[in-house]
Amino acid sequence: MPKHIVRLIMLLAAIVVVYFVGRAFLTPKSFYVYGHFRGASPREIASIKPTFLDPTAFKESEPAIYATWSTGIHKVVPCQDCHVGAVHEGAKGPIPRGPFPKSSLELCTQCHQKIVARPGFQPQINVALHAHGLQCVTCHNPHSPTETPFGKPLFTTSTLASAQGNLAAGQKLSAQCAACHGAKGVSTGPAFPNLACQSKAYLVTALTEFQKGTRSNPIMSGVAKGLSNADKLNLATYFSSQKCGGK
Amino acid sequence: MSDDAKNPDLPRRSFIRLIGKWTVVAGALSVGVETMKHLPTAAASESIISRYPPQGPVPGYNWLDHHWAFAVDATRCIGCLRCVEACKIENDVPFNPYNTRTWVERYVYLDGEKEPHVDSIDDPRDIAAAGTRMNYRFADLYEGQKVDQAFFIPKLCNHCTNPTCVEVCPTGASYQTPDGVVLIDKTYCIGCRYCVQACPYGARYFNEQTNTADKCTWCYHRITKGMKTACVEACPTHARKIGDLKDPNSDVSVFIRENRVQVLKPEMGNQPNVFYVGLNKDVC
Amino acid sequence: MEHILHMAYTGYAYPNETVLPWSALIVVYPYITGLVAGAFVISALYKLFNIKVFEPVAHFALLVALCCIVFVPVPLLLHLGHPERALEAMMTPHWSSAFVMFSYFFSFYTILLIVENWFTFRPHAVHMSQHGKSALSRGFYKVVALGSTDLSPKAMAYDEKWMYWLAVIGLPAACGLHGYVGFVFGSVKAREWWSSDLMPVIFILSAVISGSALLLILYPISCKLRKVAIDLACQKALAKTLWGFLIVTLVLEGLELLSMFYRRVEGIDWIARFIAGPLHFTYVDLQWGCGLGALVLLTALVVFRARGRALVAVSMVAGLLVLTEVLMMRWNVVIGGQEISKTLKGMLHYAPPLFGKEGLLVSGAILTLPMIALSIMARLFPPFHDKPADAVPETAK
Repeated sequence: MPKHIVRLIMLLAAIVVVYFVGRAFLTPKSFYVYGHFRGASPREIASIKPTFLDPTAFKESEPAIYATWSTGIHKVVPCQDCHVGAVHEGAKGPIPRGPFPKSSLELCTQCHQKIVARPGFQPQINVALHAHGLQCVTCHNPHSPTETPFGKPLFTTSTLASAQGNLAAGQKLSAQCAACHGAKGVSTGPAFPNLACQSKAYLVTALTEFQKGTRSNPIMSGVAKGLSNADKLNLATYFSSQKCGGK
Repeated sequence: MSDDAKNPDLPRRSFIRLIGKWTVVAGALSVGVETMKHLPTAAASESIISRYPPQGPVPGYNWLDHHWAFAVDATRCIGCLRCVEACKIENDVPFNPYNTRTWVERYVYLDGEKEPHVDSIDDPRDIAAAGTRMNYRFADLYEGQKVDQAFFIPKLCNHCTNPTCVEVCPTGASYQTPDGVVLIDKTYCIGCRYCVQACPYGARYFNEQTNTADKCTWCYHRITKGMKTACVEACPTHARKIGDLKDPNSDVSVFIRENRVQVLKPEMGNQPNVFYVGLNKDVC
Repeated sequence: MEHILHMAYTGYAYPNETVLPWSALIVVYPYITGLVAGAFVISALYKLFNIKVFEPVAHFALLVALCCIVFVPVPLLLHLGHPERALEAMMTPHWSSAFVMFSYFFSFYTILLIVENWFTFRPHAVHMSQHGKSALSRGFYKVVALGSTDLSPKAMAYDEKWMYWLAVIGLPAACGLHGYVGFVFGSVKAREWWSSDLMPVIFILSAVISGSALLLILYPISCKLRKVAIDLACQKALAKTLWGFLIVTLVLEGLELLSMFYRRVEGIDWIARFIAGPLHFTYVDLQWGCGLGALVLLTALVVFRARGRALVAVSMVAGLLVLTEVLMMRWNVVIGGQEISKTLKGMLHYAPPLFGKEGLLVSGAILTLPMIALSIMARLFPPFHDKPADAVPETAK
């Protein structure tokens, strides 16, 4: 065989040899142990530290909030569903208090805004009509939203909601509210919340809180002082029976 | 030949011979190395077995005892996208609406229209409603329009029994574990994106932080510790469930037993392992 | 904050789909591979099928194939997220992946092409190793010739035998190589636009037409540069070969589209909208326009028995049209396939960037690399048997 053919064959053989030698050296040790993958890989993936924690992890550090949360209707919502801000800003790890979401109105409505496709069992609000531009936490305790931020029940369905006030008396009394909140509860300006179609129980609660001073507003604190329990119920009955937006 | 005979170039010849010898030596070496690989010495085999026992490489977890599956009750999804945010934080998924391990789709049938309107977190209108790329929310679309039917469908990797992504992976960086999870070895992935193409469900994406393919792992670092996945943990309505099919009382086993479940794109032959209730003919 | 280059879409596409996985680089890859396979087929027609009329371009075709194939990995490596890990595909090959098969086919075929070229140009290398002008040149050719100066009849007979058998192996390897490129796309069932059994066949055929079209253009140009007469018989044979293969290619491409519509595959509504909308320019206008235009020109060339200048001019224009057709076909497969959403309920709109790694400029630059390499290689290893030194004045008429 001519010399150049021999050399060519040797060269080709060398390529094949280099390939097999290289393969022997470059194949990771744990490859093929369990199958066609690096056997160490599942362990590496499994060793990542969880950051989204079960709410019980915060029971000790936040006993009071944990108690409120775990007995309220938000007990299905784990802490980090809302308290994610700190992680967003780049800090790592579970941060129960974290920087709070900038706006509860934006946060809460991610679950509670009334939008197409959201199933009926989920409590939903028409943001413009319900919130009147106020933050949700003005009236609701975020850790137990059927309570006010001051721990009082927001809705006492057994008493207030079923109590029937006098519609006509309520309408008569509402004359003093009309200047700001509108005759039919549709407010005259963005500074004043709409009252039309608002929950009856909520209205009574709000008035009561203004009376007691647990909620304060220069105008409302004064107005509410002169109201009897029956007045409050009558007013609430009137406004709650008005159509949303006055339509 | 005649040339060589006339001018015997001795140094060059010996050089070529040297190369020849080296080739033979290298050949013998490679054969030797290959043989050693297949003749495990006692010490080597022992360390391999202790580090990689038959019950899997994860300490304190026997992957032969589990077979994971996922269930979605789409009728309970409220589209709050807590799952998407929880997943992104838990798994270091880039915070943009175009790379995601899990997402939620909204299907809306307007009155008099046959085809549904579909949107998800990457829809410009939903991005505008969220305000920032860090948050995700469904915008209040279709206001004032008459809607016949509307629902949310959560999506994630189906961890198929016949995963096409694993099939096309050239290196073995994508693989299936005996407990039914499809994982990516990010230290071994070459970033060719063939698997991104091959997934019929759009579950994979190219992670520009790691320059590798990426997708849902069913939070393998959580389920192997007895925890639920981050998305299941975050879901306030229990629309999502993770469970062990080898445990007849797990969430998923019970769900599959008590409902008539469906899977996505069954005609692909991938045999997905995310079982749905509340699908519809147009869900893709 | 927003770095992700994402696509807008009509209808609905999965969020992860809005980032294009395979860019223009992956258009270039099957295109160059096709040129390799096509050029090799022409040289095989001479060597295996004894079509002597291709003699003037036989060696040139081999050199073209070699210059193209060494640049096939460039777009692939550029596109990888971790090019430094590329060899893993051959260290721990996962055999069910079309990419792995491709990498082995590719390695095998590259070596085969190098060896075939080596045998072809060995006499020249031997000659230059002894009569080269400078010591450097002699040394270079000596290494290339593997230190042998053996040009005896016995050695040449050996060479002939090797070249013949390499061609015998090379032809199926070339088809296998490019068929596998088609399989890379055709086997992806997730993509309606790709998933087709015809894909590998169409890729092989379009490879043949692109390779012969390239020779159809390069051969006259090389003659001009060398100031020699164009072998019109050879040019005409190339044009006829292109004509024949072009007919089959266009029929198959048409059949694929037809069967897609006739079977009313899932998502056909969106495919129809896609072809009528975003894909219209590159698919209907450029791919089909150029393909049919080339067919008309070549048919006219064959029917009217064009000769002389007309033959050269018309065949070169047809060659250019075919090269455009094939490039657009690659574009429409690779990019078009990704623009039809996997949801089958929408289409994405890809606006190719001009700059950046995945941009059009880089891809265009890669396409010119084989031509630059060819101009260097043709100087080192002249592929034409011109009468040396006394250049024949141009007499082509």
